Amino acid sequence: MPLVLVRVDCRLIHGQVVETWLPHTGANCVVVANDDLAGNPFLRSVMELAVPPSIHMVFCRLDEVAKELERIDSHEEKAILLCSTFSDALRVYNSGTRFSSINIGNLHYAAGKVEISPSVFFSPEDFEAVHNFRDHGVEVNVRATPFEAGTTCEPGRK
Amino acid sequence: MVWQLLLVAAIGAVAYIDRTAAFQLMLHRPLVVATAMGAVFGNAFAGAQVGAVLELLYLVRLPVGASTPPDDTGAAMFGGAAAAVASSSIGLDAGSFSAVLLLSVPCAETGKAVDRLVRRVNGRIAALTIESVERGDSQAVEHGLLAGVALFAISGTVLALSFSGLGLAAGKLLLPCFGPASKARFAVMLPLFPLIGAASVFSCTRTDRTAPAFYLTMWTVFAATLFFRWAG
Amino acid sequence: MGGLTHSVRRKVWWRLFLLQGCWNYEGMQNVGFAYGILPALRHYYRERPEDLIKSLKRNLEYFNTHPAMGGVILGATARIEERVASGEADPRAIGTFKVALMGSLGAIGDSYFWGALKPMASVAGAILSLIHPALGIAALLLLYNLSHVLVRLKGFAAGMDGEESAVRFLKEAGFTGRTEDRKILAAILGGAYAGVLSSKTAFMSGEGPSAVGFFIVALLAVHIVTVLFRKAVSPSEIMLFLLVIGTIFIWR
Repeated sequence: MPLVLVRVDCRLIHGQVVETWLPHTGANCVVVANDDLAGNPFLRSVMELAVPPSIHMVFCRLDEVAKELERIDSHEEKAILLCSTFSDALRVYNSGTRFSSINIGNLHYAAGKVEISPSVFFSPEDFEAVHNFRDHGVEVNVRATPFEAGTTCEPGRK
Repeated sequence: MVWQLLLVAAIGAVAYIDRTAAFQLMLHRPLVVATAMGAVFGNAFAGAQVGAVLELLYLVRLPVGASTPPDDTGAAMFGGAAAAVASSSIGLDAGSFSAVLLLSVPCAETGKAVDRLVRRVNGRIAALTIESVERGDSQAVEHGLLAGVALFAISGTVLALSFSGLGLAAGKLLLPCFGPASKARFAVMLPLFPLIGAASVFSCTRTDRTAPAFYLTMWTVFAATLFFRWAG
Repeated sequence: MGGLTHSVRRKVWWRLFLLQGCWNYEGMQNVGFAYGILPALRHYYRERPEDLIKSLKRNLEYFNTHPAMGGVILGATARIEERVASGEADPRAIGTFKVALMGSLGAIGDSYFWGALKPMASVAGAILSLIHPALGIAALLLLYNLSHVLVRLKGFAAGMDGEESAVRFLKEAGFTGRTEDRKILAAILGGAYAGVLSSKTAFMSGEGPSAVGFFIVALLAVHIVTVLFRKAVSPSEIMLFLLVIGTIFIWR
């Protein structure tokens, strides 16, 4: 399995991913699973400027993740998978990509959301997604950078 | 005495505003702050000595997104003040130097907690700002922002006064407990702190090519300077 | 150039220094962003106070990027707002544009400024302060701010010329290459710093073969601390551990 980290982050690629998670996990590939980005070359080109040239960047649609990961596995690369929302991550999981834990980095505030950590706010659908992941035995942890102690989301919390 | 208080308050406000709220011109770096504190309390050189070590120590923790690094500005305020009063005419002895560095850690962690608190209060200010804008008041944005900056400045002033006060108290007590006359062993640790600092720089600049660059330079410089010390 | 007068542009540029003035966990730099763009909005919506409020509300939405890179996005956003004000663009385009750019620019800025330029300036300052504190401070401030202010100036100007020019600026500035260079320089300077200070201790502690032994100990110390940092141990924890060890030795 080439995946070293699966992360939900509303900002996708940013400093926390590039400067802390990439060195911490030793990954050399970043898979950005996002339907909007896959169809927008302008934004993709900006994102590609943000990672060191030695990192292999892959943009794909949510339903193509499993296929892309297989290819990455054959190159023996270690990959970080990024999704912008919880429901995207769930779709990736349901379309056949298996992982044992998922990291929540940033989900920004909006009215009616519940604060989980300083940078993570859950909507009712997000709680639903946590339940779904827990039912499948996937551990959900909330951590912006590897330096933080982090919290594991308990299923009873609502 | 009064002018010292005023200077510390001013340094605190400037440094903490520069740290997060505005400009980020690096006026908040430990080297700058500790030297300034040292100067206020009578020994800029002792302050700079401590500041140079603190400068590198926390670099490995980056201020990325919502994650807050330890407050090395606060540690430098404590360290600069303590170093200035603990140093004698020949400078700061190794035992007190080590003790100043080690005792500055609680300040760094306290400063970090206060920083988070300020950002929470700013959340209230931002919410009020948005409410006022919705009522049609565009100037609320200016007021909200200035309120935030003022909050950073006030908390910075308070932190600077407390940390430097603690530093003065610690500095006065340090010399008898940790200085050359004591039995303390802190002095043997001193060479370790610059190495932790160097490791911090090395860790946050790590790429494929930096490891040989770092270790090779370390060896070359070590050998060269040692040779010149023996020769000279 | 856009329809902004020189004085408005200058005002916006200065206001950008306060981007993080009201940093909060919910909207992050939202108030700072709105504060920065406000003079431009006041200019575009001179006679339409209601549209001004509407536009201000969308510029108060969640925003976070590296503070020195904010100007690129703010400039480009101001250009889109100008087209929205004249009815040529859809205001929804602003949200998509900002969200897409703030993460990438945050990553570029965090890597370049916090991960490369700041460590380089810091360690240069620390080394030169061994000669004289004033020299160290001057080196630290100059090395960092020459590049910092230049990026702010050029980035804002490029953003004000529109989205395409903003992206062209990012490509031509070659941040990834610069980041790599600064990181290697910082590592070399870091090695030099460790070398100078351990040779000083080695010289004071003994002669001959013991110096080589001392170097190996120093190397091991750096290596162990690096491994600890990689395992997400914080500098504070290492220092507190040393404090406990030191205290035990005193009361022995």
